[in-house]
Amino acid sequence: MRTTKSRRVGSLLAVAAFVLCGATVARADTSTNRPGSILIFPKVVATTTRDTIIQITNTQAMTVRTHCFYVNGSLDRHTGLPQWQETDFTLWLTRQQPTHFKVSTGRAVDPSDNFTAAGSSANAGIDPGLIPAMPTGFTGELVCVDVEDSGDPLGDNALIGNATLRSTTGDVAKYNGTTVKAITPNEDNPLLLDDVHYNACPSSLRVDLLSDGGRDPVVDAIGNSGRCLVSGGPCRTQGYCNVDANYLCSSDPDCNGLNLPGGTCNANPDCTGGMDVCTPGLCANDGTVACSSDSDCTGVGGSCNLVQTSSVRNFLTLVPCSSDFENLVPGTVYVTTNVFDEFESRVSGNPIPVTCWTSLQVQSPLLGGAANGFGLGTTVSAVITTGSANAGVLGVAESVSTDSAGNSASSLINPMVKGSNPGDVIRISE
Amino acid sequence: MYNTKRVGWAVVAALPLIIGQSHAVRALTRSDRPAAVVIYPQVEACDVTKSSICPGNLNRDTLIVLSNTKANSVSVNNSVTAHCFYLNANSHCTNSGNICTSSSQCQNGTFGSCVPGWTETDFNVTLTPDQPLSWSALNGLRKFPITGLTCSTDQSIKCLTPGASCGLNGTCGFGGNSGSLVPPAPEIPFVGELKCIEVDPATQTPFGGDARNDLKGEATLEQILDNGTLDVAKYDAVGVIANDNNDGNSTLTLSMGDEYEDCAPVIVFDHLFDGAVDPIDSSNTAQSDLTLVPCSEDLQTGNTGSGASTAQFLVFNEFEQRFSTSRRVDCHFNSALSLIDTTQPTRSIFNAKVTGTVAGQTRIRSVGGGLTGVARLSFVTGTSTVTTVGSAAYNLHQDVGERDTPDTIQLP
Repeated sequence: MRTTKSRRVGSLLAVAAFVLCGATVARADTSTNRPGSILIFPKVVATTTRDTIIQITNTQAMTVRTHCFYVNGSLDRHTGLPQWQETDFTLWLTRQQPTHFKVSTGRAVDPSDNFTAAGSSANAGIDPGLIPAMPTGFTGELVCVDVEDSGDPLGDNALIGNATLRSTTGDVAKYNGTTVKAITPNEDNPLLLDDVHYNACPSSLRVDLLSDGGRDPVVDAIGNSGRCLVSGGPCRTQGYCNVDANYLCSSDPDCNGLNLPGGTCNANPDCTGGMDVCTPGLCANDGTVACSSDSDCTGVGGSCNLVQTSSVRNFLTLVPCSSDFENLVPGTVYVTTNVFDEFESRVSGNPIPVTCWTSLQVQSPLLGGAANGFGLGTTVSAVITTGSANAGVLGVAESVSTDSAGNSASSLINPMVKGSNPGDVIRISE
Repeated sequence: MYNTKRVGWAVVAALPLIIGQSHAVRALTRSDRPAAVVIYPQVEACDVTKSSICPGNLNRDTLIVLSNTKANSVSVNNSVTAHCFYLNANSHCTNSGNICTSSSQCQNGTFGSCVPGWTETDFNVTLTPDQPLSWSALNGLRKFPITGLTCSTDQSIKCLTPGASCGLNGTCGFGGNSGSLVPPAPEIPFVGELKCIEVDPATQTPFGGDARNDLKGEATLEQILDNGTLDVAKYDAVGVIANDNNDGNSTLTLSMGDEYEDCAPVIVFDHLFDGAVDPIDSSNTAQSDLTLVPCSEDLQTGNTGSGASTAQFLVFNEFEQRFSTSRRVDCHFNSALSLIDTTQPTRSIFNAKVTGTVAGQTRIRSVGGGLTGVARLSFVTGTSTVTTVGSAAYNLHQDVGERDTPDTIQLP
C-alpha cells in the first residue's frame, strides 16, 4: 500500500517526469539521414519492369530485432482502391550489420550462401531472417519497427536504410528511408508519434522540381533535344547552326568560322549524310523546312513547330504516417498541394484523401488539380504538400527526364520536411 | 526513513540539469530541413565540344536548384540573399596550367606535375519568398524572373511600394531577384562543390541574433552515356543549421550550441560493394563513388589546409566482419569506392571480391576538421572497358557523437 509520503515522492517525480517530457518535446524530427526506431520506405516497387533493392543497416553495437511490414498499395481490380494488403516479417541484425534483399524475391535463410574465392554470392552474409517475396505488380511501402524479443516496440534508434529502384532499361533511382526517432518510447502498442514518445511526422513536405510537363534544360543543352531534318534521328541543337530554308547559317558556331551569318553550314555531326542538320523545329506549312522560331518559316508561312524536345514528368508518392497493422486499418490523411513557380505565382489544389498509399503525377487532377497544366512557365516549381490536422504525411518525389529520342532517366529525392503533426499512431501486430 | 523534503529538493535541484540536457537536441547537418548554409558536395560539368578531356568523353552537367522556404508576407521582406561560392577542385599542370587528372598529362617537353587546386568564385543570389531558382553549372543564370518591384500576380505591373496592393488581388514585392547573377562554372571540365550561405545583403555576412534557416537546395547530375542515353542522379544539398546566437561577423563557427550546428562526427555510408553483382540484373555490377568535402573552409585566403582532415573508414560487411583504412581529405575528395585504399580495385576492402557480400556499411570518422558528402551508385557492364548503365546519387547518413574541435567557415 502506498503511503502518503511515497505518494508525495511519486508526485514530485511525476512533476519532474512531466517537466522532463515537456522539456524533451522537440520539433518533428523525422529524418532521412539519421538512425531511428521506425524506418519507412514510402516507395517500393516489384513489377515486370521495375524492382527494388532494400538495404537496412543496424548502426548500433548490439543486436537489433526489427518487425517489418510490407503494405501493398496497388489498386484492387474490383474496387479501384488500394488493396492495403499487409505482409510482415522479422529481421535480426547483429551489431553494425548491413543487409539487403530484393523485393521481388525476398531472401531465404541459407547458411550455404557464403563467401567464395570468386566473389560474393548474391545473398552471402548473415541472413537476417526469412524475407518473403512480394508478388509481381506490388507497389507500396515498407515499414520497419525496432522491437524487443517480446515484440513490443523498443527505442534503440539503430536503423537506417535506403531503397534502390532498378528498371529493366537499366535506369537507377535511389532514396533514403525515412526514420522516426524514439524519444521516450512507451514500449507498448501503439507507437505514439507525438513528439513525446516518438518524434511526430511533419505537417508538410516540399520538393523543388523541374516543372511538370516542362523541359529539362540540361538535356536541351548537352543531350538529345532536336531531330535531324533528313534522317529524323536525335541530335543536339545547341552549338550547331540554326538554318533557314536554304541551309544558310543564321548563327554561329558553324558559319564557316567567320562569325558571320549567311555562310553555308557544314553538316551537323550528329546528323550523318550531306546537308542534314539538327533542328529543334519544323515549319507547320512545310515539314521539310527546318526552323527554330516562327521567323524561320517566313518563306513558307505558318509557325514553327518544335519537334519533340526534352520533357519532364514528376510523381509524388505519399503515405499517411498512421497505420493499424494489428486491426488492418489503413491510415488516411487529407493532403493539400500548393505549387509555386519562379514568379512566386501559386496554384492550390483541393484537399484529397490519401489512404494507404498513392503515387500521382504532379499535374494529375487527382492531386487536386494544383499543377494541372501549370508549371510550364518557369523552369522549376516548388511543390508543397500539407497533411491534415493530427495526421502527418510522408513521401518521396520522382522526376523522369526524357530526351527527343525517347530515352528516359529517373531520379528519386527525399522531400524537405516542415512543421510537426503530433497526432499519428502506428499499431503493430505482435 | 524516507525524507520527502530531501527528495523534493533533489528533484528541484536536478531539474535545470534535466532540462538543460533534454534541450541539447543535436541538430547536426540536415539534408531534409531548411538551413542557413547549403552545401552541394559534388558539382560537375563538361561539354565534349568545348573540351577534349571530359571524363569518359561524356557530356555532363549539374542542375542546381536553390530555394527560399520563407513564406510570403505583405509587411515583412522575406526575401533571402545567398552568398554562394563555387569551389573549383580541378588539378592543374604546374608547367602549363592546363587541367589534368594525372602528371602524365603534363609532360609536353617540360617536366610538370599535376597538382590539386582549390579556387573559389563567388556570387550573390536573392530569392523572393517561396521562390525556387535553378541554373546549370555549364551555363549559369543571367536572366532572373523577378526584377525590381513587381506585382505578385502580374509581373508586368511595376509598383513602387513594397506590400501595397496591386493588380488583381496582388501584392507589391520587395525587389525581386535584383542584384543576382550566377556565373557559369569557371572551367570546363569542372569538378568541385558549391556552398551557399544566407547573408544580410548589406553586410555580406550572416544576420546577427536569431537563427535564419531559410535555404534549401537540390542538385541533379546529368550525363549523356556512351550509347547516347540519358542518366540522371539527384541529391539533396547538405544543410548546416544556424542557432540563435550568431554574432553576425564573417567567421561562421560550426559547433554544437554555437552559431551553427556542427558537422556529424560520424558519417554512415550504406552502400553496395564495388564489383558486387547487381541483385536485379546479373549482367551488371555495382560501382560507387564517394565525395567528401571539409566543413571548414577559409574562403578569405583560400588556405586549403584550414579544413584538412583524415577520414577514417570502418567497413562492415554482411558477415559483421570489419575492415578499416584512412585517407587524407584536403579540399574535395571524390573517389571510386574501391580506389580509396588501393590502386588495384579487386584488392580493395570496398570490393566484393574481398568482402564477399553485396551490401556494406562504412562508418567515416574525421580526425581534424569535420566532413560532409554525398554518394553515387552506378551499375556498370564490361570488365576491361566499363560502361555505365545507370546511376543514382544519394545523401549520406550521420550518427551522433561529440566533435572535439569546431569547424569554421571564413567568409571574404
